[in-house]
Amino acid sequence: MNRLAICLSIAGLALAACGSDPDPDTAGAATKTAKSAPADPLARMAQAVGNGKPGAAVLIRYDFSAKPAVGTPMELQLVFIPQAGVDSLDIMVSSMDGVTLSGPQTASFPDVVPSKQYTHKVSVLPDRAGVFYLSVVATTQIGNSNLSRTFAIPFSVGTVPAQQKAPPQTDAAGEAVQPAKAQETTKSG
Amino acid sequence: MNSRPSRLVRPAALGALASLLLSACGGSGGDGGVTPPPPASVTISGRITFDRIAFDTTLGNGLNPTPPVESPAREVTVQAIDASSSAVLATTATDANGDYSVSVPSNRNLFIRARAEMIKTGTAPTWNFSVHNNTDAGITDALYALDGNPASSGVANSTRNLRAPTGFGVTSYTGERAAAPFAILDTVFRAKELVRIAVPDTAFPELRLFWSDANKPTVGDFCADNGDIQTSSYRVFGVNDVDQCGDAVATGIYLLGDATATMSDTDEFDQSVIAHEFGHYVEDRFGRSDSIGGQHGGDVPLDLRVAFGEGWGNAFSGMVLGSPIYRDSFNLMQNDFHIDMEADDDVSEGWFSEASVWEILWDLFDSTNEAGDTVTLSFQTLFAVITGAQKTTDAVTSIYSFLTGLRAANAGSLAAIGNLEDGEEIFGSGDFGAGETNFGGAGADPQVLVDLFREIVRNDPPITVCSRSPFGHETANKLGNRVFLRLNNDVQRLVTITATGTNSVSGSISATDPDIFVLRRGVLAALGVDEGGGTETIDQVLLPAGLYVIEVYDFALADTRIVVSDAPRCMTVSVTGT
Repeated sequence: MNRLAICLSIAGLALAACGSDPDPDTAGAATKTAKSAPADPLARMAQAVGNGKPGAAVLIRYDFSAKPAVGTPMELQLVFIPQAGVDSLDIMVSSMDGVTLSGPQTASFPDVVPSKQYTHKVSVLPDRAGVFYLSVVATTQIGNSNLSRTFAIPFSVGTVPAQQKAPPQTDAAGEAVQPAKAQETTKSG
Repeated sequence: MNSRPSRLVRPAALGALASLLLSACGGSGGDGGVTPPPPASVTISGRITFDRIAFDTTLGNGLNPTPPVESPAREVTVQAIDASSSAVLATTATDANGDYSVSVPSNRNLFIRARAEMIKTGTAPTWNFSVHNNTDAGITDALYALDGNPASSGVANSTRNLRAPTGFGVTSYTGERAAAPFAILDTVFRAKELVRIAVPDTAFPELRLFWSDANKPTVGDFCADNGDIQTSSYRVFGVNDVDQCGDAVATGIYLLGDATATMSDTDEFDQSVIAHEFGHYVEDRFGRSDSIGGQHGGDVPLDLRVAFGEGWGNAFSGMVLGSPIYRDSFNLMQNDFHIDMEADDDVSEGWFSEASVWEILWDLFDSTNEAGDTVTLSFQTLFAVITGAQKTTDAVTSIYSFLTGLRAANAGSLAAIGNLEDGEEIFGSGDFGAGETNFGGAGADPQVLVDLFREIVRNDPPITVCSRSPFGHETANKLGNRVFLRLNNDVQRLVTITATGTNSVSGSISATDPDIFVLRRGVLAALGVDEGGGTETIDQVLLPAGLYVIEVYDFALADTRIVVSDAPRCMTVSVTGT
């Protein structure tokens, strides 16, 4: 992978940096300013930038209707943009402990049109403060084959104190190690 | 009465005699017993294993956690560690069965540690693969390990077997996921072996793999320390690079591991995914990858460099695992999707299709021949192209350059290779795909072909080209988004390259932010990426003699902050110089 690939692989901000900074090693330091272009109605929505392993040919963007707060339901709007070749799209939404979802948690979009936006909404009710993730699985059908991709949508509720992680162990050589406990069987003699 | 001493008495009498003799010789006995001195060292041997959660035999049913398959941890580092001082008393590595043996001091309180690494130094082949936690609190990402219990080494040889459990309970993970790093390494072992057997003296560049039970397919920024890694991927960073949260990052393979959500996507047991990413490492470190990365999947026609890279990744995965079926679990391992590389995906075939690439590469390799596939070549043969002709092509890395190199080295397979190409509707020839007639099927703009490696001549009038989006332009890596021109620079000289937006093409709009990249065999020789303005200039750059690829596109296609239509975004391009 060459320097250009580096820029693209770190996506988003780095993509912009590649277009503006002659040294991609400093990716993230500068971005281009868009000029004379219409405002993107989706611009304020976070964007999923897929790369790496193969997966469903669909892009996702999302937006919460309000700042997440404990005990207050809010609406999550999901926008799916299938890519060329996609025949149909199915999505599933799930939460984790501390968050209750209401509204349809699955949706099917048959006969989708590439690059068109498909919207789905769910209501999200956090029952405590913290950092949470919603999982969205998008499955596209192309011809006779299905491909899936999982997206984790992050959001925080309330004031979340910075997590203090314990420093890792070091071995005799000073190298950080993270040992797990083995199931051990022994035999003497 | 029998006068002979009883059998019980005799040893005591002998002991007394021995004691007497020892005293007579100045020995230190006198306690009445014979205690041979303990041996200076003893041998501890055993087996290191991990539990693998294997795929259900039914496609789509995901991984089956019960029962896990106890598997050898092959070629991993094993240490005997003093439980008091943490000093390493002995180091070895497991063999291909997971067995190890170390000599340690006797009567020493110690434990056995298996490190999630495979290291071989000295005479080639050599390698250094390791699995780290990218979300720990340390400055350097901690290496995973597996520890046994402290116990005395005693005075006799003993056995200590260590097994890494998955931590999976009935329906979810409930315990420490000790097996994960070793499962990842096991796939690396298989991938390494594929290459090593083909080229026995291979020196593998160091590769780090990053896995954490906090690694999520996050929508948004790539922030490795938080576990927000977007997806499993092979990523290359410079020494001083930072991620999108401003934290230092390292080159390597990042793998998903978070299982807290009910529909999580974890990859430590998805061997296809790990081998696919290892394929990117192989291409990057042994050959050459000009891929620009970005969003891909399914049948979206891609930039030909991306198509080759991703197709190679899948095909390599199949070669490692000996199967054409690529499987990736999701929904907390309850489901998987699969790709059958033996099945003809005819939705969008061509030089821009990752599916066409993996189908060709797999058919070249596999021993199962069918209609259109009459060839079986060794991995050694394919790898030789990756490390040879593909690395030195004057064009960009693509299926064209690969097959051109393959043909040159395999004259006996020309017809069979041609059949595979025809089957995927690849009609161009040579590294530059000369004569190609497939422009991507319905809806594609045939001008894409006209602009494919079109020659640009120094001091000729400017030529007009367009960034096209017949298949969209997300991450600006789709077919037609970027235009490749060919410049034959016969002697070293200073040249000026200019790209200026124009709407002279019917139905087009002017490129608002042209960018220029000048590539010599995949290496960036010059670039012009100034912001906006409608014109980009690389002024008076010294280009040594050689064939160059000049890549131009309108950056507006990649700018995530604005929306642009799919209309062609055109520009004139010129090269001037003495």
